[in-house]
Amino acid sequence: MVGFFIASVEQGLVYAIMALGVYLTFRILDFPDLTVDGSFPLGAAVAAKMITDGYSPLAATLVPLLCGACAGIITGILHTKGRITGLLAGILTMTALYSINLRIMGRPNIPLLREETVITQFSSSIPQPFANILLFSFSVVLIVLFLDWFLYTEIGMALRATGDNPYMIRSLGVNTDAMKILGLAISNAFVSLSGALVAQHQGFADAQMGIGMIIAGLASVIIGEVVCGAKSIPFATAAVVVGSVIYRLAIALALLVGFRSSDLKLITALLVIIALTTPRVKSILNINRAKSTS
Amino acid sequence: MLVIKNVTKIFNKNTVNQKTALNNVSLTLEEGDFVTVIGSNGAGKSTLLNVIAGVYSIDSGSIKLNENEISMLPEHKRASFIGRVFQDPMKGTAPSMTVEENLALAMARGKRRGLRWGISKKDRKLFKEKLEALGLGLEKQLTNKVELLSGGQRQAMTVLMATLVKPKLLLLDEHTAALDPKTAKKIVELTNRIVKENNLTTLMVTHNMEQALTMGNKLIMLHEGQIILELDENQKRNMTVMDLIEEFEKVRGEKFVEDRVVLAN
Ligand SMILES: Nc1ncnc2c1ncn2[C@@H]1O[C@H](COP(=O)(O)OP(=O)(O)OP(=O)(O)O)[C@@H](O)[C@H]1O
Ligand SMILES: [Mg+2]
Repeated sequence: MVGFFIASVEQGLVYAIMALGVYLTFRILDFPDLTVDGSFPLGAAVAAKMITDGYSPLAATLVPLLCGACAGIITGILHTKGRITGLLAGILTMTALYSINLRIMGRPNIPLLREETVITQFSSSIPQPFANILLFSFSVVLIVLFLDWFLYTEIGMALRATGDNPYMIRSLGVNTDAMKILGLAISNAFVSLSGALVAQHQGFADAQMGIGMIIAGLASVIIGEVVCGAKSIPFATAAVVVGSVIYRLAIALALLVGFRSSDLKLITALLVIIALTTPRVKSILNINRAKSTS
Repeated sequence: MLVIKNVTKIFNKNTVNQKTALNNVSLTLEEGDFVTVIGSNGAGKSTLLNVIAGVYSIDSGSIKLNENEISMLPEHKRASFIGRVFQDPMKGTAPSMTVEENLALAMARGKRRGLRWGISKKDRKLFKEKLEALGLGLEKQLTNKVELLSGGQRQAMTVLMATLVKPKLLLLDEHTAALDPKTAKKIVELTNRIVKENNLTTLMVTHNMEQALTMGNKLIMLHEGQIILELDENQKRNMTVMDLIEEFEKVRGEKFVEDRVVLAN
């Protein structure tokens, strides 16, 4: 039981980095970005390839940040300069990334079980599961602090306003296209970082590992909002992390009561649907809807 | 100051829906001019403001501000020297951000935005003073989200935000039309005060002829994409709403019927 709990917390933390990326696009930029399903395995693929090629695990964890940012920039350019709707722009990048990820890995799957990773490095001095929890907490806290700081800077505030009221912020001299591209870049950088860490945590990278990632991220964001609220940015970012852990616990619980792992996507979708239709969430969404129709 | 020359704007060019919204419009504003713009629905008033602000590109002509051609600049670049207030009170503020955050966004207009803290202590003090001057109690709501404010409060904030950094040109598009009469009056007073205090060059669209005559120092009337009447300070002073309607009929050679209701409300 304790092991089950700890494993879920580990997963909740490492996937929270991805969920924070989803929060940035979905909630802050008001942009439903499906690039996530491609940039998550992109991070995993780059990390796995670099590790098996002998690069340092730290580099293999950080380079995906750049790769993910590039993926986000491409979606952003398709949307802003190419005038493709946000959803489609994300789907296009995601689809292209599927091929790219296979190219990077050279095969559908790279095992990392006997390789040196950031996790094996870290746990050489600290016993498990504390090493994992510590490493992932540290990463999550860094990202949360970054967002809590960045979103209150001049640029960060312009980015929030871009999602909130693009007319207004354009009339105040902000290039909303640039803000969208920036937001997508940061978001997908986090998503890829999460993918890189997950690959090292689970011991392999797989071309299929991104399927449904956006829904998992959304589930975390929404669960967090329902449980903790989202009064301000620091509240909201913390809520995403809490939401991610609760989501992983719920998934683990579902497995425990006898569902198959192949059922998990259905369960996740149902979870999101239920969350989206419960009254508390409804009122949160109503505010957003009023905002987008006005 | 602002020199608009032979500007033409055609929507949906070369389609069945082709519409010439501005037809060879020329207009000059001197420094400190406050020009009111009237005209019936679809006359091209909003389009005129939008092509100046860069929301739409023009098909021909030129727009110069202080001798500089601005018609090729994108909207966000022009925004660094143009302040705008929209008809819809919801359009001018970011609802899920706080009052002080909105003001800080406006404070950064025309400056390079960087990684500095978005709101400084000094800003906060200034915001408080400016909000106090509005007399709406907003100074006590600095950290409240804007979505909690009324339409009138939001519009007052938008006027303040458009002028917080002094713009070279202020564009107001029926910015009191969506408000109840009492609130509208307040916003009109506020607008007059801010424009006067800062000696702002202003272009204000209104559906209200009375307002068009009492506010500002010049008046233009648009019809079907053309300026059909231009009044200077002296001509404007001696005009009544009835005179305006008469002028309209004379210039157009047609009866002023269904527009009357709209123009005089
Ligand atoms: N984005 C657009 N696309 C196509 N046609 C447009 C667009 N904007 C305005 N028009 C057309 O251009 C003409 C002038 O519109 P405009 O909005 O400038 O009128 P207006 O004088 O502001 O009217 P109102 O008093 O109703 O606000 C109208 O016929 C309108 O249908
Ligand atoms: Mg209009």
